Parts: sequence; structure tokens; C-alpha cells
Amino acid sequence: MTLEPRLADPVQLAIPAFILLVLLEIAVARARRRPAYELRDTAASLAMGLGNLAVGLVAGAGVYVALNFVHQFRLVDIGYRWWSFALILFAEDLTYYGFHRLSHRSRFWWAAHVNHHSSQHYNLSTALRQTWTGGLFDWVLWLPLALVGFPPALIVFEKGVSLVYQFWIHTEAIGRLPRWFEAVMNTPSHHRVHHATNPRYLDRNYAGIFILWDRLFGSFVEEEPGDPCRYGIVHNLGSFNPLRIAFHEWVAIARDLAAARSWRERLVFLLAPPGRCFDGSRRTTDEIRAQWLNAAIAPARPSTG
Amino acid sequence: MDPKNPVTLLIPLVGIALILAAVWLTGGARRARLDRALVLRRLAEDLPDFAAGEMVIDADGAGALIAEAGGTAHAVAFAAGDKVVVRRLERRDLRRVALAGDRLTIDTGDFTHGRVVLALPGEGARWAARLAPGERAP
Repeated sequence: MTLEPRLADPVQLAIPAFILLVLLEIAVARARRRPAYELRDTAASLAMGLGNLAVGLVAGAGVYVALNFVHQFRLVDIGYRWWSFALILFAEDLTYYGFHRLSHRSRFWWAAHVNHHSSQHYNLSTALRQTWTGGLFDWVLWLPLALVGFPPALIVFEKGVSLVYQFWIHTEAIGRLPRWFEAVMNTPSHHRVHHATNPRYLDRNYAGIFILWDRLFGSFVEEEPGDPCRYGIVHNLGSFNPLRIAFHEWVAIARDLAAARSWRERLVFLLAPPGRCFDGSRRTTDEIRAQWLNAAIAPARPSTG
Repeated sequence: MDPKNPVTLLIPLVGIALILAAVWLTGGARRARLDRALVLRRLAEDLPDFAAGEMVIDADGAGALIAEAGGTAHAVAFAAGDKVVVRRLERRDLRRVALAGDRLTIDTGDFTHGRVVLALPGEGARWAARLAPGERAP
């Protein structure tokens, strides 16, 4: 029998800091006369955060059971050593990158993740606008870490560390950080790009803690001062109702599945990139970017007349 | 969050109250006021294929209806807090268009927003007729 050390829950420890930093950001925005917060938008984000905590309470036990079950078949026994904490930092962050990229590129996963992007504001309260449905299934992507040999409690601890790290990057109050930091770490600038709907920025910068993964896998885009970020989603929500925020894409999927004419269409509606359709009424990120690029290139083409 | 420890529940709840009070006290309870320039900018950003034609702005600046130039589609823009949301409206999207006095109600059945109600003094009937399902295209 292995005795596991009792690891703290980083998110629970960080909640007072979250609150203080949001209050500080409100004060800074006020001082700079750049309104960053809107009342109903903030209330909706906070309600989503509270709901996410509640879902986490219910789903958490099941996640532990699943991680422990898989851990029985571990390839190596990594245990709790000083280097385990260093290794899990990178391994979990790479897992997060994969999860996050999938969450933008497959509609089933997007349906759970979209609510995090549904605010047209970008501030620290946006970080708290978390999913109500993703916690029910997204943990399957972390099971390989348990299979490799990371202790389940360490995996859960590191997921918390990642969430806490990603809180402070949801702000416009911080511009660019020193070059070495921007090169390695995910920063407010990099994550503003991720939340933007400008065609240049759509579905880029999936990183959690280290921006290295985006640089490595070709999904990195720099924030351009000449193209200020417009936040939100391609079809912005006209509601602050948490139920609409949490479930709107699931409702859209259900409607599409009901109207689908074949199993191929059903699969596409469920798993293909968001925006994929058969009647031209919606566009995927790739289509939006291609159209934008064509429009940008067209005026520069020499006349053939 | 530890369900057995009420303090862990109390801290987020007190924090939420403090944050909302701070947002309200710093003027956060504001709403976008639409004008022609703002609507055109948002159309260009969100619906780049939509060629804006005739436009009518709600009397309170809370919304706008826009006809497509050279087409039969419309677009609706409305305030969502201090931001703006736009939607393209094809005839098939319209579940119900109703006029009560000067107030035009548009129901699309879109789960991402409720019904859009526009105050259009002197203009409501004309725009209701343009939008109404079954109307023949000119």
C-alpha cells in the first residue's frame, strides 16, 4: 500500500486572491477610465464559476475513481519525488494543450468550452466563466497521465495549479511582459489573442502555462497592436442567463442532429469543427480566415485589365 | 470547495457580493446605445458578407433593423449590456413578428437570445411588413 501525501487544492487556496485581484482590476480600470466590467456580464461570469465549483464537487469523486482505476495499470511508478512535480508540470500542460485544441476544433468538445469564450469582455471575471458540462467528461484526456504512472492526486493537484496560473492572464490591465517571459510562458498578451474573434486570431494560442506548445505545434500568433482584439465568439450571445450560456451549443447540436438527413451529417454536426454545416449558413474558423485572407490580398493584386 | 466547511462556501459568496457591488459603484450598470456608425462597424466585423441597406434605429438606441442592399435578408442589432450583438435574419429564421403600437417584437427561436423588441415610432408597421413571413419579395 502506498501512502499518498495530502496535497492542497490550489484553486480553493487561490479563491481569496481571485476576489482581491478582481477588485484591484476594477479599481485600475476605473483609474484609467477604461471600463472593463459590465454588471450583468460579470454576474453571469461569477454564476458560471460558482456552477463549475458545484459540478466539480459532484464529478470530482468519479474522476478520482477513474484515475485510480487506470493507475493500477501504470507503466512505471513515478510516485512523489521532487522531479515528479517538475515532470507533471510539463506533462499536464501538454495534456491541457491537447484538450484545449480539441475543445476548439471539435464541436462536441466546443459545446462544453464555448461558455468560457462567450463574454465580449476580457477581464479577470472572464477567467471564472467556466464550463458546467465539461467536467463530466473532459477528464478522460488526463487518464493517460495516470496510466504512465503519475499519482492521481498529483494529476488533480497540477490541474489546479494550471487553472490558478491561467487566472491572471485574463486581463487587459497588463500589456507586454519581458521578451524572455513572453517567449516561454503564456501571458495576458498571448491569451488575449486566444479570446479574440478577429480572423487573424481565431483558434490560436491554446496554451495553459507554457506558450512553448503553440510555438512547437504551429498554433502561435502574436498580438498585433494594429489589430486590437475583439472578444467573444463568432455568434455572440445576446443573453446573460447562465442556462443559455452553459447549454446554448448543446441545444444547437441537438437541433442540428434532429434535422440531419444522414448518419454522416450527424457525425459532422457532432464532431467536426464548430461552424461546419451543409447549407452555407455558418462558417468554420478555417473558412473565416480564408475569406479574410482573400479580402486582404485582393486589393493588393495588380489589375489584369 | 469543502462542502463540510461552510467558510469555503461563504468566501466565494461574499466575494461575489463585493465584486458586483464594486462593478455597480464604478458605473458598470450601463447599456450600449446604438447609432448608425456603431451598427455598421459591428456588421462589418460580425457579418462581413452582409451589405447594409436601409436601417432603422430603435427610439431608445437599444436595437436596430437593417435591410440587405440588393437582397431579401435583414439583420438585427441589439444591445447586450454595453456590447452589441448582430444576427442575420432570413425569412426562414423568423418564428414570429408582432407589432403592438410602435413596438415591434421579433422572435427567431434562437436559444442564444430572447425576443428582440424594438421601439420604432412611425416605422414599425413598414418594417413589420418587410419582415413578416410570407411577404413577397419586391
